[in-house]
Amino acid sequence: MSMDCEMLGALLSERRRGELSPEESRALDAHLSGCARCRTEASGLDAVLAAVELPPVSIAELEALRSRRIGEAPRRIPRRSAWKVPAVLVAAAAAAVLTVSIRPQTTHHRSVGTTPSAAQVVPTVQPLPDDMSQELFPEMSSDVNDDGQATLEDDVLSLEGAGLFGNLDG
Amino acid sequence: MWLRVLPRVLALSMTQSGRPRQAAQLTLVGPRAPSDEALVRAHLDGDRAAFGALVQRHQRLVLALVRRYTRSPEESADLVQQSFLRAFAAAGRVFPRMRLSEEGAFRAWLLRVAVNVGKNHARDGRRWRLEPVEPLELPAAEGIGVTERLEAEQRRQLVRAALDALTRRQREVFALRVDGEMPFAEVARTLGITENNAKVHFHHAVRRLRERLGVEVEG
Repeated sequence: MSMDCEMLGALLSERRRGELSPEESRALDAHLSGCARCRTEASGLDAVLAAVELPPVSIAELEALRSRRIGEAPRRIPRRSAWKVPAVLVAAAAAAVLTVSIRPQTTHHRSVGTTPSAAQVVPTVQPLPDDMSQELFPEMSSDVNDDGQATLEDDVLSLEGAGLFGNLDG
Repeated sequence: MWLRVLPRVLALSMTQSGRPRQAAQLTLVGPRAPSDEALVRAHLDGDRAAFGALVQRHQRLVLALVRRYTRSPEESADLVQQSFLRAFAAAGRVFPRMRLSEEGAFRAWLLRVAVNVGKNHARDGRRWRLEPVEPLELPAAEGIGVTERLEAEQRRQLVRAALDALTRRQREVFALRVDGEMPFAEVARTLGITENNAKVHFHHAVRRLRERLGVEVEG
């Protein structure tokens, strides 16, 4: 099997597109006349090449594509108001303080042989570890719209937060 | 929803990359237009126009690749948009690791994304589409047209199924050559292989397609 045999499909494809020079086309014919295997195979491969071709790109397809205006400079997007972020942070901090303030103290002064009563549990204000804050406020960093649903922009922001967009400084 | 998000993604990435916008912009047209790789670097450096230039440069080719997997111009445009959206979403992760010194690195990657988007679309369609391929309430006068369109759609599905059975390299070579209408030299350059290698992959792709489609195309 020669190299031409291994490229028969490609050569037939080039001939269909008129990409072969007259010399190359003659060389292909010479190969086909001398190689029974390729001669047998050629008509089947040609039929496949004809069957898999798609019609040329239509005007309707180009119009549909043009209408999307992909990659054009985006319109100015109304961003979340500047006060929203600090407001959310303040609310989250206030909620954290309230949550911690009613959290039972875990270290008690116990007397031997006595069981601490509810009155002995002294509430104290302690900062929560970060991971616990995340447990308590998993939605802290995400914005919601008036219906309480995460907005589309937040989906994008969450992607950004996940590092899909955040590597641009690298 | 996907269709509306792209401009937002573009805007967010351009404005929230944490890097001040750069005043210098590349010249995007003309005989000395920058390479894809230069545009990718510019995009990473915060050039707002760079990614748009990449879109303008490649959207026709992406359309040519994805339309095999669709049934309407609108679907095709959807998939083009989705391909670029996916490329853009992955830009931060992929571009810094891309060998930008190699010509064609971006295009090869983008075209791979496009073929995958098309394949996934076709697969999802098979999974979810329960209704007939074409609406049956078409006027009786168009009965012949409907039959022909059904047959054409069935042929397209057969070809898509046969393409699924190819190796990834064979499918990429086939897509660039047949759908992208590229000369083999360009196919080879895009995929980073030799021209002879591209031709051999193509030959084996066509042979495998013939094995699966032989009855249909010859009978």
